[in-house]
Amino acid sequence: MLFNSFEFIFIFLTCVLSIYYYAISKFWKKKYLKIIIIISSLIFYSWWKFTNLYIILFSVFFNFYISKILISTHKKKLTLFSGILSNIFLIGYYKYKNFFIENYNLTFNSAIEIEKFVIPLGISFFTFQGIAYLIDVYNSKIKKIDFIDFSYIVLFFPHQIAGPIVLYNKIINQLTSNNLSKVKYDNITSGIFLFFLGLFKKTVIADQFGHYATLGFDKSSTLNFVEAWHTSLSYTFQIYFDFSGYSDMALGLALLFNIKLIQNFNSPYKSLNIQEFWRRWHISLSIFIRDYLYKMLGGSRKGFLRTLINILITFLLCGLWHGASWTFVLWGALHGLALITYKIWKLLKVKIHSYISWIITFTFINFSWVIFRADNWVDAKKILKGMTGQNGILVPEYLKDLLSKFSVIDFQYGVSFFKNTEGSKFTILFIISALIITLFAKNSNELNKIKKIDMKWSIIVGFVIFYSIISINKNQPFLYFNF
Amino acid sequence: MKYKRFIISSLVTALTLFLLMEIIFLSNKYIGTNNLELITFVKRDWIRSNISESSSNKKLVIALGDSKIASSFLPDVFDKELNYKTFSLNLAMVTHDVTRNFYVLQDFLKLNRKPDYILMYISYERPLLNSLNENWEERLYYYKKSKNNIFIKDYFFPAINKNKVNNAFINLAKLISLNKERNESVNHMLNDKGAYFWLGKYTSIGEKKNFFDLNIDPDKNIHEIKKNYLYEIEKFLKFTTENKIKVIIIFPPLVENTITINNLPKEYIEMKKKYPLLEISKMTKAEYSSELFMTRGHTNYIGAKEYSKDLANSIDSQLRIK
Repeated sequence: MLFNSFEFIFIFLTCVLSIYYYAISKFWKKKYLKIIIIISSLIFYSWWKFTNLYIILFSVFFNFYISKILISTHKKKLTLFSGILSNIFLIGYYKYKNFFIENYNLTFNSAIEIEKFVIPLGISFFTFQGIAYLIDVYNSKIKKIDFIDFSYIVLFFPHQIAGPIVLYNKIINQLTSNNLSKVKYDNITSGIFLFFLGLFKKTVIADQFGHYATLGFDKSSTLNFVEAWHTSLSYTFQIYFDFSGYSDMALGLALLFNIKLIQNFNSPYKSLNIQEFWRRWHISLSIFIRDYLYKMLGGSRKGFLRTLINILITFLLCGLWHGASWTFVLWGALHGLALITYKIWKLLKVKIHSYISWIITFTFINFSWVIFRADNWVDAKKILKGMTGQNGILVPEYLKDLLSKFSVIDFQYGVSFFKNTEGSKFTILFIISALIITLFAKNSNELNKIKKIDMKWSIIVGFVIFYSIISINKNQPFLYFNF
Repeated sequence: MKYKRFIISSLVTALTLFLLMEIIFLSNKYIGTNNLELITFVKRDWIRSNISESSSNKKLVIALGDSKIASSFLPDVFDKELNYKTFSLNLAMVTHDVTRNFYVLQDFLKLNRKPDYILMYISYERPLLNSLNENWEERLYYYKKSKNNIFIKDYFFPAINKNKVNNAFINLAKLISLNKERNESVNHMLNDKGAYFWLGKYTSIGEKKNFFDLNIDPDKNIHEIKKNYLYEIEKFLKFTTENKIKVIIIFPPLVENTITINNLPKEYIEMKKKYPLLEISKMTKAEYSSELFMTRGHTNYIGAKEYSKDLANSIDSQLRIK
């Protein structure tokens, strides 16, 4: 069940909200409210594939059991180690097994059969949450554990499939607070606003860019200069609005149940350097890999060279977390190297103008998304070749007089800029508009804060609800559902 | 403004917009799931509102077929030769089939007296592109009616753009608006076991259950008429026989040395025996120089003039002999 589907909005969510608020009106205990959410979340999860339900249930039961042992045992290190290893085995088996076999077959020329199965949804998220929970219990950051609370946090359907990654001790106060069992209209208002704003971003903007990205990446054998940039930028904005939309929806949904999730997205394309980008993009993942991976490796405490090595290892694993493919590993490596370059640059204390640093950062991100999106290296090369002008620069005939002055560049003249993909002046305008929005418009959280409770804003919200719903296209899942 | 009132007024605004949209779409008869459907609606509407034959002295002829006939058959040239009054009521659609010819005939009969002859071409290969009728008046009408619609659909309602037709709200309005149209067609064309094909996409009882196409593979140069297609042709012929309308099956112009129709398909001959008012044009080898074509199957204006003249003479002599 996708958030951007009629069955989710009009059946599932409507039913869950009705039951939840009915229970509140009848002054049911918080414990029962949590159970309503847990059951709803299990229904939500089993909607994808009922038989996969046991995997997430196993993860919940197993991690809670280990945490109980961690609190009482003296062999804490061994318990933690076996707990983490089991979680890694779980994700490794379902997500990376085939990747490992494929590469083994390729390296050793063997023919081990690959078992085809669908990767359980959200496995990267709930196993990471499990690992973080165990480490926090081990470090005594979590002293009191409760099975219902833990199940609620892991299973809570607004973040179950694609984050944000919720840490137990960051949210537990909200679960024990009396606010959970109150009707808070300010939360409901913000929840509706954020949910439909996210839906709007997804259905109206991201899916449109997705159409152009698919044409370039999957349906064209060759791309000229403009087409390649059009394709890469389309994906750059698709993933931006898709993930931003999803994050808004998750935050909005959680607010409907009086839970404030961590802000996961904060205008990342405004970043002036790669470090800032990772502080704004998928914030909960950045925090997780910083606290539970980078710092565990030693972080920046063991000298400059070791810091750089730690950064590279962290990003290689971050890439691999996104998917079992070498393109993801390469993408992670590129980001790791970019961050290393930035660290060295900072050490040299060379200052550059903020405009230039933005251009460098944005161009790098755009190029790296090509690797990220491509199914394989051949596909990535196809786009990169076009972007670097190796397939020629096609321009419309009417620009011939103007461009003849630039005799150094060998232009090809045709009817328009596009030959192999759908595109026009309007789609270029669409990309420019998206860039302006990402750079200058207020983000969802800022909008949520400045919105006024008056008639004008209610009409705006009403329009957003209307337009986002009529634009739903149920064939378009969120990109982060794949990770 | 309190939060509660804010939420209610937001939802009321959204609901009002939904209702408004439904009303707009209900009143719009040009809603289609794709451009082909849209063209069909507009063209049929054009036929309904513009074709009205007043001259009762002349023999009344209508030409039906696919884009090949649409581009190659010029009613005025044909009429000049035979002193008939001819209308080319051609939807010129991809995989133009008898089912749709039948609707067009129904539309025509609502406004006119019965035609004396129907010139009908049945596609023998899957056409590559849909094209518009060469009738400029009709073309302008189509553009005027459809341009805004396509623009609104593509840019403001992406859910109904092209293949993205999953939006329940749009579908609701669309289904209601299509209901009358479909019922009418289904009543005409369905029997207890038949399926109803609608513009290559869905049937009323399932997806592509029976795809009616007269399929002659040009590469193999063999003529094969599918059985379910014959069933549709027979339906059409039964109707025309009951109404005493003569049907003449015609063949489109071809680029020389491409496809040669050496022998008529045996099904045609059997049909001819069964329906005495059915004629098959003797001009089966309408081969023309490639200079007279804009594409392999579509003539240019000079080619169309030549073909229409030749067809008129051929039919004239054929009917005179009769």
